[in-house]
Amino acid sequence: MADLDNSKLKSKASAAIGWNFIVLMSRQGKIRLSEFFSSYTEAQKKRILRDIATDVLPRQAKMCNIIEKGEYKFVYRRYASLYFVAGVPVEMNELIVLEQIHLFVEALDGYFNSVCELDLVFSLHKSLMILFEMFIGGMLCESNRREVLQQIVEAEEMVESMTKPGEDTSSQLDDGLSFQEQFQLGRKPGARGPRGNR
Amino acid sequence: MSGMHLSKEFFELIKSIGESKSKQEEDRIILNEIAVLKKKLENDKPGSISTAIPGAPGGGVASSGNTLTTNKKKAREFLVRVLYVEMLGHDGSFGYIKAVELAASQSIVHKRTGYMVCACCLSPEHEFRFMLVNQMQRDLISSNLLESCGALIAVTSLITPDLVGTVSTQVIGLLDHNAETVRKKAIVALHRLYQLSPEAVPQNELIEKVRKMLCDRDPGVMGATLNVIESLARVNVAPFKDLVPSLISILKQICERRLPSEYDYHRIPAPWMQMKIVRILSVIGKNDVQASEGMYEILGDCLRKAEEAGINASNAIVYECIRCITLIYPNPVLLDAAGSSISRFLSSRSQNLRYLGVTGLASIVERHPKYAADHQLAVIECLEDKDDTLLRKTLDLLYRMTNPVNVEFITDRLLHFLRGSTDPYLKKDLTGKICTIAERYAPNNGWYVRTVTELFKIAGDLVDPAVATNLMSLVAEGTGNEDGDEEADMVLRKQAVELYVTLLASAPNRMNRVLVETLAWVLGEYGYLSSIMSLDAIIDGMCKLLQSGNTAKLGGGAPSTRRLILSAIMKMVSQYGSCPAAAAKVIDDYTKSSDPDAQKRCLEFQTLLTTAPHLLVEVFPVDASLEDVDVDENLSFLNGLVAEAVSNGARPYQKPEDDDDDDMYSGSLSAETANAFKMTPYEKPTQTYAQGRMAGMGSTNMGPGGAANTPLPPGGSPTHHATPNPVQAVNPAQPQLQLRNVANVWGKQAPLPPAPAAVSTPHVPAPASYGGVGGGFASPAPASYGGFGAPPTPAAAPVKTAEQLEKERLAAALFGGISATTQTPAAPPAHPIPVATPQMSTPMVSPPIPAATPVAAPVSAPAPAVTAPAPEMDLLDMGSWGADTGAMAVATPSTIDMLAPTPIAEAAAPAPPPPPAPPAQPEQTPAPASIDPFADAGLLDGITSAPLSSFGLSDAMGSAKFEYGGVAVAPLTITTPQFGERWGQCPSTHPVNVPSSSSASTLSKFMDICVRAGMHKVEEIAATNEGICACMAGGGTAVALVHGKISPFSGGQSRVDVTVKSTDPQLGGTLAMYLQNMIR
Repeated sequence: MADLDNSKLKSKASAAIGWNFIVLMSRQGKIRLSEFFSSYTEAQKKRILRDIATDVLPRQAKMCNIIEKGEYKFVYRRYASLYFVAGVPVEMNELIVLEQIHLFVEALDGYFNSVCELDLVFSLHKSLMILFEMFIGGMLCESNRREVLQQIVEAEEMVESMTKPGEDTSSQLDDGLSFQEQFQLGRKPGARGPRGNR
Repeated sequence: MSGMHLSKEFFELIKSIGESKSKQEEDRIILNEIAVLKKKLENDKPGSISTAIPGAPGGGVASSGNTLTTNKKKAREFLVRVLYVEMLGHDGSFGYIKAVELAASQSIVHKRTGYMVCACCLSPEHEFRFMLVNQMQRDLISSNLLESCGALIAVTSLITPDLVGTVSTQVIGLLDHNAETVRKKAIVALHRLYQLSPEAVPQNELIEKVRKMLCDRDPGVMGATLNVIESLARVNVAPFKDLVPSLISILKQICERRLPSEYDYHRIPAPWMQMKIVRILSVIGKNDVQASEGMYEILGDCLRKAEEAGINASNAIVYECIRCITLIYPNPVLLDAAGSSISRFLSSRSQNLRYLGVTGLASIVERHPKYAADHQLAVIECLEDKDDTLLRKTLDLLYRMTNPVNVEFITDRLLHFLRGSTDPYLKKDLTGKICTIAERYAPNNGWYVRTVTELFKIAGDLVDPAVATNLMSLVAEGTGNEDGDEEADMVLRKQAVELYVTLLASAPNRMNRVLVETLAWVLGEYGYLSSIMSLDAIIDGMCKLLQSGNTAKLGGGAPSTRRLILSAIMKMVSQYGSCPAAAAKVIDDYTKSSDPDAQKRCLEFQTLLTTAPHLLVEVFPVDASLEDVDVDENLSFLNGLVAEAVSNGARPYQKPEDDDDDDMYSGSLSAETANAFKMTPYEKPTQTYAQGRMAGMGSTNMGPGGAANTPLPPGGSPTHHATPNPVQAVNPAQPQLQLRNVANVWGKQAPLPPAPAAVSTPHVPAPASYGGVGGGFASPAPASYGGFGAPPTPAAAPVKTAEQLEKERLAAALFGGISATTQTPAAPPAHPIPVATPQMSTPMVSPPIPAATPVAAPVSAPAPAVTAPAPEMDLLDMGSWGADTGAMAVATPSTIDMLAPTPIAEAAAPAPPPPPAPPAQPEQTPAPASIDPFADAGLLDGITSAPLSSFGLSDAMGSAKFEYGGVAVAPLTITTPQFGERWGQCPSTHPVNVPSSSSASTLSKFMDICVRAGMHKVEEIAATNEGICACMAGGGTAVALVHGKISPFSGGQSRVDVTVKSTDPQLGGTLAMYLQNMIR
């Protein structure tokens, strides 16, 4: 019972004017990133993910980027083979959501320096941090890209400076791959890391 | 290097997930990963020394200084892997503890990773959140602003209502932080806390902070605050009303590019903020003329500037402006601008813009139907688009622009799409819409029956059961006309019967529950009218239907459907005169049924059939569902039994005190009575008793199959309003306990009236029994049902030149009644005048308004609960909408003249729906006092005699009567039915909506205001929180009627919706203003 009440409260809280959730799904239906700003039960989440796979992925390019699903609707944008699907309340302005998605992608692009799907896959936590920095509780709160990136980069720089000599920095997630491995992934070595760092 | 090795592991994981071909394979990889991660965690335990073989997955990493605990980076990777596990739908809860640990880390990146994983994975009820609170408190007040920011973000997603108090002080403190990035996160976080637990964050404080933050020197903070304002204003707009000038000035500055260019997005200055402000304006401007007027200019500017840019972000602003313009008090110039933006969207090649165009059109046509006319072909094209989303939106548009002329075409279209649809959301939505428009605009009864039956066939499981009840009432009553249009009624019944007979013959096994039940009732009552099939064949068909496996499954195997079919068979047997073998067998079978109700019916029927077949005709009279039944209310035939029981020591029956309570079943069985029942053993039933029981059963248990003594089976009541037993009406087949029946008979059979009042009708046709109130929209109604006399068929439309395309034909059918364009030849106008006369004599053609049937009227007369709550408002809305159409019809002579019979006064009403139209009033008003141009907002005539101060407090209102033309109005003493009648005759309508009022927070306060204004209180219905009042001016030459509905919400405030109708637009307008003032 208590669980129910809690989740009701939480979902009611953020439902009104922001995103309910955002899911990044590849064309093959693999989830690359997902964040639910409103709280959903596991079953609801599964259903949403399934709906995205069945409704969004097969749509033709020329169709409109909106699918209504009762109390929320999917607004999606496709970048190469990756779909960015935002779930928003019905009364929300669809076009602005499309632009918000694009703003998020621009921020990712700025951080990863021409972002690709692999960046997102390997730096899930970084992508999420950027997302949280921009969309607090699903509402777009920071639309200034420079501001967003600065926050993330500053934090990282702080880590650099705190690293004690001799500590194994190479085990840091992003830099854990040898050049050879990076080539295997089809990526130019060195073309990563925030702009601010280089 | 081990570090390298680790990341390679992670790399392999991602790679294998990426390469997996199926979900099963992915699941296997993840399960494997979970095992690895768990092992890591185990190795990490203090004191445990790695025993794993180096090189094995997950092993060999726990050497000192390199465990998860000591090496944060490893811990971080561990968490990201847990995150993956969770994201792909598996349980990663074993790793949460690490996230909590990491949140306490010194390093900000690690800390934020920890928080982030907690935010993503921890459900609100997870106990670890308690462990995090302490950490968040510390971080919030940290001197490191990155730590504060991290904690603020965590607060928004991790705090639950019970924990709000623990962090609210710190969050409020951060509102004054030096760094703007902290301030903006703090205001959002505070809002979040307020949403979670309004008690912990005082609203006043929040609002005050928000207003201050709106003027923050940093645009980012202001932008974030706009989100909060919008969210708060949607709940309660009052505290933000005075922000309009500030918002307008901000919007102006943004439009003029005064913000730093960093906030530009694709060269549009801060589109997010522009959009937000427009949204907030639309919330504030709704229902507020003054606020609306203030924003016209900036909206126009904003719209124009956005139109110029022509990229997506600016289109979003355009769209928001359109929405705002349609929501606030209408301004013709802006509406035209919105109209042309809509046409640009509609004609765009981008599907998204077309979608928005259709949405925008849908929002504008409801109040301003004329804008639909320009886009006929575009809409038809959208209907044929293969894009599902666009199609749905267009269907929604069609629904909104339905009118009596195009209803057949539109319903056809909707049914067509419903048939082809598999999507449950769409099906449910469409079903509801079809019901609504069919009930609201049905051109004639036959059409209604056909349409609704078709709907039952397609989506019966989604239909509101009340629709079926309505359909049955309609068949039973027909037009409900007193003058005995019995012939037309019979034609309708015959049509219905033949429709169902055909169904019975063709698809007995594919029917859903609603359809079967309706069919059973209609055939049971009127099966003998069929000319296609003989009665015994129908009986045969019904027997087969009863025994079919399909029927057994209906309603999850509920017995009610079978009971209904049984009743129908019995009725038909009695009509037929003898019992066919099939029926006899079925009935015999059911005497052994496990369903006691069915068993009892069958046993009784069998007994009657064998012992006294002549009685059958009396028990199941033909076409008597409408007859008023002579019920022995006192149950005098039980007197003997009662006397005997009393003499045997039973306690005499005591009448419960509140016998008009609707939920009296429980009430009448109060503890006392129940005790009495328990203690005294029942008498062995005597012969008389058994008969009495049976008679009783016939009345309530039989449901619509109601026998001779049925007081009011569904057929007997126009809607369940007038039905004495609402339960029964809503679901005729609902099984009922015998006990209820008795209680019913004793309790309140006689004074029927109070019952209906409490029954709220979920659907439009409700006002049926109100006759008069139904007439609330009767002003448009005569116009609407013009379609009855001369139903405009789509085929009649195209007459023109050779190049008449199919599309134009469709458009003509679709847009009929909305406007007169050249494409719609004036074919129907030939009819209007002959049509007009029959309309007057048969005012209520449509099924939803079978209104004052001879039977229903006396029964429901005292009851007419004025109005059903919400739907009635709907009707009134439609009324003004209809008036609008009416006005247009007159203005454009070539319009289809179905609308011609609209009273002229109606046509003269101002076109925009909320017609108080203050600016126009001074010119029209002959009364000298009203020349005063609203200096005191609507005090008008009263101003001279009533001191201003007295208007502020309703308590001080003692003697201040409402005056019109310098003379106080006189109460008009009428009854509710009279009120209803007059309601329909009043041409001018003046809605007053006060979103939150304390002076009229309860119904009685509202009625007090009205009475003090000099009105007569006609009726006050506490059950629905509605009241009606009436007054007259000029010695009875002008009459004004007032209907008010109070919807209380928290804090002793209420939303008040008042509709003033008057024979004199001036009187109505002034009275509406006066009331608005008083209620505020």
